[in-house]
Amino acid sequence: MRRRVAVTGLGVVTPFGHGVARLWAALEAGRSAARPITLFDTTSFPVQFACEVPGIDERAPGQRTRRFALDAAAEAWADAALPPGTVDPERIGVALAVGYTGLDSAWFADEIDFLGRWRGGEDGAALADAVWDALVPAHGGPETFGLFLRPETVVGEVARRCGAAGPGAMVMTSCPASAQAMATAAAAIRDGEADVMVTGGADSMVNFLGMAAFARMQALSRNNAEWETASRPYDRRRDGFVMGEGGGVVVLEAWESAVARGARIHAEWLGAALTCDAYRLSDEHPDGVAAIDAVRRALADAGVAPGDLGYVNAHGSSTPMNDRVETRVLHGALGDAARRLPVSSTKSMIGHLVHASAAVELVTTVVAMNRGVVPPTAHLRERDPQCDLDYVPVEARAHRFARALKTSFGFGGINAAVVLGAPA
Amino acid sequence: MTGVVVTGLGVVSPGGGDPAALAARLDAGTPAFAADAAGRPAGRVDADALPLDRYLPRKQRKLVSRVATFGIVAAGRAIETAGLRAAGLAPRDVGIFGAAGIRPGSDRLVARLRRAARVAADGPTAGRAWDVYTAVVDPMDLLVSMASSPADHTAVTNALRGATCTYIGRGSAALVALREAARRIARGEQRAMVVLASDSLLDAWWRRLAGATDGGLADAGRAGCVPAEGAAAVVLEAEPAARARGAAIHARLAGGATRLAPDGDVAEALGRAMRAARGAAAGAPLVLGCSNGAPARDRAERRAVDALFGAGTPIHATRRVVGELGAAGALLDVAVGAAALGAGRWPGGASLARGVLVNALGDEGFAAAVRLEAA
Repeated sequence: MRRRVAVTGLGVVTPFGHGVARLWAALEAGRSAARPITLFDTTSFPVQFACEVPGIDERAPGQRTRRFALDAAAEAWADAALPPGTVDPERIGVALAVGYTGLDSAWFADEIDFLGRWRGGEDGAALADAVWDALVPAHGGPETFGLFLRPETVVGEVARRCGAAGPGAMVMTSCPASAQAMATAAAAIRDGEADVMVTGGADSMVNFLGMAAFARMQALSRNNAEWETASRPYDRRRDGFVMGEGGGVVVLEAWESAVARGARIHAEWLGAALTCDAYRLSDEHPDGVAAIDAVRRALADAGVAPGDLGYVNAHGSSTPMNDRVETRVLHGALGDAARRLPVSSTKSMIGHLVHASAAVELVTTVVAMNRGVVPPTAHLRERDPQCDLDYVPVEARAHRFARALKTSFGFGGINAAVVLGAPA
Repeated sequence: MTGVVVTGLGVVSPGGGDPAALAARLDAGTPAFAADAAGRPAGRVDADALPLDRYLPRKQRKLVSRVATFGIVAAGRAIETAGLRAAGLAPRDVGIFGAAGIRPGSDRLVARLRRAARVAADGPTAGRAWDVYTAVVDPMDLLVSMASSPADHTAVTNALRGATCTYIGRGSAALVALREAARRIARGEQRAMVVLASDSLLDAWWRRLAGATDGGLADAGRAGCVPAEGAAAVVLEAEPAARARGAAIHARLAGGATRLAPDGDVAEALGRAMRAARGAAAGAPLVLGCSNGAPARDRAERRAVDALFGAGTPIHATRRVVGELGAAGALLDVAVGAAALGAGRWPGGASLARGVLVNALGDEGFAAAVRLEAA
């Protein structure tokens, strides 16, 4: 049995604030959410800007990530407007991707300050114990610190709030993580194991250790002079991605039951595929062989031909390598159709939300499809000659379409592709 | 999960790498623990004895944490015992799903702290955070610490280009990965799937957190689980294809489910997962439970098993002899159960006629169960 899957709830927390409406208004206007970092002291730090979520008091990465997940889930759940008692709780599940919640920026500063005064020798266990004793009480105590070690508890929290007693899953990989979580959720509905799944992802890497890790790998833009426009996918002047944070959650539902209850159906989840480059841990395969396979498999799973697609919301990270390889992938997977398709990267405006990116971008794709407007690739002024598709530069474009592709690629050579359809 | 069978097994545990020997150890009640530096019991893998050269190219080793090597070796063994290389499958036909805890283990933490202590001792650190960071953290540390690292390395080493995903959680993640991998096979999307899980609870900070939040790790004079480290892996294939190529089939996946506990009643959630995994099968299978010595967990599992199969139904718990392997524990049980079903006997003579049920319960707030049967 293969059941159809409806998207009936949307929720986001993004660098433009809470809510889908706020996100869409900013994307349609081509605004940038990048700004100087306020969440940690950037003295001596090579990257001075990011896309921070405004209006959240929590500063510890684990607490921010948790808050993004819960708030995005709350909006999506409310949007789905599932009447209480209409679905058996055991048929409601949760599948989320939650990021490397990491240690607080202040923690690292305090840690090296403490270590500078440490005179206890190099006994590793004693050193670790001493750091724990000195820092944990001052950083929220074990419960707060526990989110670093056990971010998976967020799945349980979302389940409690939605009354979900069915299947659960938690994904932690790299950039495509929330696409993997959503694919897990969609499969549960499609195969009849659940009727409703709350799914998506949340992440906050705008902290010293999170950003330092990517900065050390030369993945982040260091264009501190032009921070507002530094995320410029497919532009020949691009020099890396801009870190963002946030959460995106969708409610997926069995098509028949969504129709039966008169739910507002935003879109249909038509198909998805995951593949692995099996090339290098840090790099994509330059020919994108497995990524091409992911797109082809997703289209086959969806029963959609390349020529039927009307829009691609691309991974478009603004790193020199990704944008070039992704262009190659779209050519390879879609053939002639690739040149006729509008392809845009909303990371140009909200940055890279890592574990949340695919989910937020999927929400964006759904809204774009329903409004008949393709969001732009902002800040694309000088196209890279090796990037030769229609990237919808700078300005949003009115464009009606009924089938869309969402791509996500990440470290470890992990590829994900999702195909969506307009409700019909 | 119709028609999905287990054709490859791999284990790295404090009690060694032979699933059948682990079952015998369990039957004999012989723990594989040693005292840690503080004199507390711990389940530690003899890492020096692992045949790393066989499964991990030397150039990749600097990108691998201790716990990731366990996963890579377990997966290598599973691929080897399945005869997957000789099966002639295309890279895109074989995928890999992983399960992990999120911490790369004490070795990385302690090494980083030691380096930081040396650098920080050079002078005031205020305003020097980036300088200290670049001095103590390798550019590749991000990749090393990724939860998906064991699956990613295994994919690279074995050219697995099919579906990939890594689930986290120190209880149920391995069974989530197993079920999702089985789904890929059952739908015909992949010809074979490698499922691996690796984890370590031998982490200084984890022990402190568990102690602080009454997580049940065994300290001197106190009841609780024995923290351990290790990994397990299995290879799944469609039964007709496995038979056609003459693969050794250990067991068939007969059912499985995960269940959330929105009201916090994990025993109830586990009971529901077990019921769903059992399906229409009658009677009590051999239960490979997740009881680990932590009183609250053991009571929850006992309550769930008694309610479903009758009071006093035996619970065989490998954690009694190898310790709590976190995310890897449930997959180790799958490997032990599948090996027993393949051999047609359980040490001590317990019946396998109704198959084996593997339970999992974790911090993530949900329970899972998988049922295996003889193929």
